[in-house]
Amino acid sequence: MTTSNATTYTPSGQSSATSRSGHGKRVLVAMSGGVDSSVTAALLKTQGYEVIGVHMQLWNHGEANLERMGGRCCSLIDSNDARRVCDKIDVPYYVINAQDVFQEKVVDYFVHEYLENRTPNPCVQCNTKIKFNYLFQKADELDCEFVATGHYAQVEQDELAGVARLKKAIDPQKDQTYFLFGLTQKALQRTLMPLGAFPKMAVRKLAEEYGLAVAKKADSQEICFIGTEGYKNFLEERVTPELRPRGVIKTIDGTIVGEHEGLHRYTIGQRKGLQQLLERGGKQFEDYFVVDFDTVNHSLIVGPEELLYTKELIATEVNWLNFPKTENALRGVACRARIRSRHEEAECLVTTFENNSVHVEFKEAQRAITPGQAVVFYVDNEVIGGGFIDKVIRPKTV
Amino acid sequence: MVLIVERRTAIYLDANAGAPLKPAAIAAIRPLLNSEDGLLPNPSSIHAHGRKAKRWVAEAREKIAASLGSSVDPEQLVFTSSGTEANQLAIRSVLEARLEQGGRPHWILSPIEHDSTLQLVDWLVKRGGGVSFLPVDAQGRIEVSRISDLFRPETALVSVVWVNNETGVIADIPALIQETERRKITLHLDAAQAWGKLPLDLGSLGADLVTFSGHKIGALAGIGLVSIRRGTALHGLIRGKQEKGRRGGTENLLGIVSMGAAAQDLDPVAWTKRVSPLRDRLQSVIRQRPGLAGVQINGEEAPRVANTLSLSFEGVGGDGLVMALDLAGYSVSAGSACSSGVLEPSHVLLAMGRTKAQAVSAIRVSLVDEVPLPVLDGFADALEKVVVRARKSAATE
Repeated sequence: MTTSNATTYTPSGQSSATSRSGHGKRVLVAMSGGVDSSVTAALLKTQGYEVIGVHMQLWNHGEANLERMGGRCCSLIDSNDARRVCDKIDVPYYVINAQDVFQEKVVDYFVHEYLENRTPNPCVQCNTKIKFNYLFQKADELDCEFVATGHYAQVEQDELAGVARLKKAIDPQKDQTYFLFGLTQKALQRTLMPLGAFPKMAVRKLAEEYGLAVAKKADSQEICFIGTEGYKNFLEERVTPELRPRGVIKTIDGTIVGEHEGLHRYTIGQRKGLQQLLERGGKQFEDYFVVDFDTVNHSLIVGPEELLYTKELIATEVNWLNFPKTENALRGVACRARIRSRHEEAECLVTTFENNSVHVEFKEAQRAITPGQAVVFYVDNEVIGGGFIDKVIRPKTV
Repeated sequence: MVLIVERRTAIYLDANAGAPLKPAAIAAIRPLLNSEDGLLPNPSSIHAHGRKAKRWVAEAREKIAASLGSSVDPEQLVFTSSGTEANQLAIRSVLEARLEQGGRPHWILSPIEHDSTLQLVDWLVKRGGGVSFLPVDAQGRIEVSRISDLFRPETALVSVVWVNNETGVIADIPALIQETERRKITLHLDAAQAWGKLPLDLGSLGADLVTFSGHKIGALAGIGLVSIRRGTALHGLIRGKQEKGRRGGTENLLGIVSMGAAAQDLDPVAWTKRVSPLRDRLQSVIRQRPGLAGVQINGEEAPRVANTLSLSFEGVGGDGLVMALDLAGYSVSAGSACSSGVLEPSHVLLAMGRTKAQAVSAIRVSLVDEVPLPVLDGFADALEKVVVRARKSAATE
């Protein structure tokens, strides 16, 4: 155990983000109990902010599940870890109850989206619909000027333009901007994300140097409300079989090649679970993937990989953080777009419509554009906006 | 981590959660902690050390009995680890005896009982027993006359909280006892918030089981008490020879001694005379603040103990107010917190007919004793500021 004294500590990767002085300004730090938000709180404290730690209780796993869910997001253990960090750095700590709204806006949405044959991203939904709304409301109640989170992203205040800019983290492996496109400009101007200036390894090192008990805690990777049971069991426990009917598996030309146990078990681009085709139909199906859903007849459409590649999509619920001023909206915005969290952005043209929807046309066809996922628009390293993929447009010839 | 934040000591307005240790209690346990041999003897031991400890326990029991009324038998007091254990011992003792005989006992209680009592509702239902709740009116008064509607031949027990911890509303005990005596039902009273706040005379009262908690009267936490009417059998939960076989486990000597000293020091009449005008003043100051317009005072028209003030601010979360007041240097509480610290809507206010939104909007202020007037005014200032801010942030959401 390191016995470093935080008052004499200077962060090794000193950058503009870390040297910005807090001057006693009050900041609400959203604390999950993980290493990232813990270091965020400690960092801001050393920078002279008056830190208030807040943990959002989103999902009640119940005492009986304490062992099974131990150490995961939202569990009692996480809440206690966050509390211990706040004790260590001597800042107030509060737990707020957001279970009802989380159930409604995230969990119910998650289930509903699968029943609509989409593949939802609950983390984006949580950030967009709950986390930041709630945190800013709490921040106002507690007279906090800023809200800080442990996300790997950089928020830059562009004083000249009078806007805040959401930029990628310097560690490309950890960048989380994809999950944050739903922030409003007003919120962004009051947001601090100091970890965007650090590589992950440095953050763990900082946690050790600050003497935080969470320094060696594993990162959370999965969806916080789904345990070891997996998402399929989670859905099947909550949805009557009538709402997730079985159906046939077809090729794109309509040939029936098998049966499936509910479309919610599949996602676009998936190959797993199609082995039965191989067993029945032989080698010709070896490289088949899920390429589409026939939602009217509850059929699963499979085909060779090339059918996964398409160029166009429609996205809805679009939020613009910084609409490029020089662009003519009617001609479209040229930018790069990411269609899932681990996708490399690709060049595209975004045409805006009313009702917050957009048409996106990629220069090159992209693999497995999936309704329900977010599409996030970038110019260089900056997120300019994003939305939720509603439809994939296929060339008529197929 | 160093970085000292200068923070003045917060002002404590949460007596109902736990009162500060009474100087008399501290004085009583100090010699035990400073003894030359460093020994807290086991009262069950035969030797001189043990006999001394046994005498301390007996003396504490006598002081406690005296504070509970003129003719309370010290031998009918059973020490437990907490008010929670006291409640569960009293309740399970009655119901388990019936269950063991193969009965399906029926239990009548109010929905505004302490959580430690309500926890046993599921327990009884799972074992085949029945549960009925007494109605509560909009002022937080338990409608004890309704026992006649709820009574069944198999009704074994009535449990009622004497003074509600959130609103401070006092139950109508004489009317209650009339109902239970007429029907020969065992009566359990949860007196945790009544002790020290109301003059008690258990000897003439006629309740069968009355429960208490140490830290509510300025004794140590970790000590509770059941007072048993002579002739009422008590079936222990924890088996052992201590407490005449009614509660096993080596006696909590420090807790018992502190409880004896604190009990001896109680003077509910004088305390009420000191505290009541202060609470009433705070209440009227709050009423007059323009920023606090629309405040609802829960239980205002019911008889209340002197120190408790339950306030609702429609549209504002009580948890946010508690946090903001904490940051402003005032300790108050809201609802009841679960193990993670999350606040649930107040079950007491829900039972009083409030909506869920109203039930999450309440805070409780409970005075320990005398408070200088500027402190109360300072609190009203802080409250006004945080409520105005919270209403503004709710409006801009």
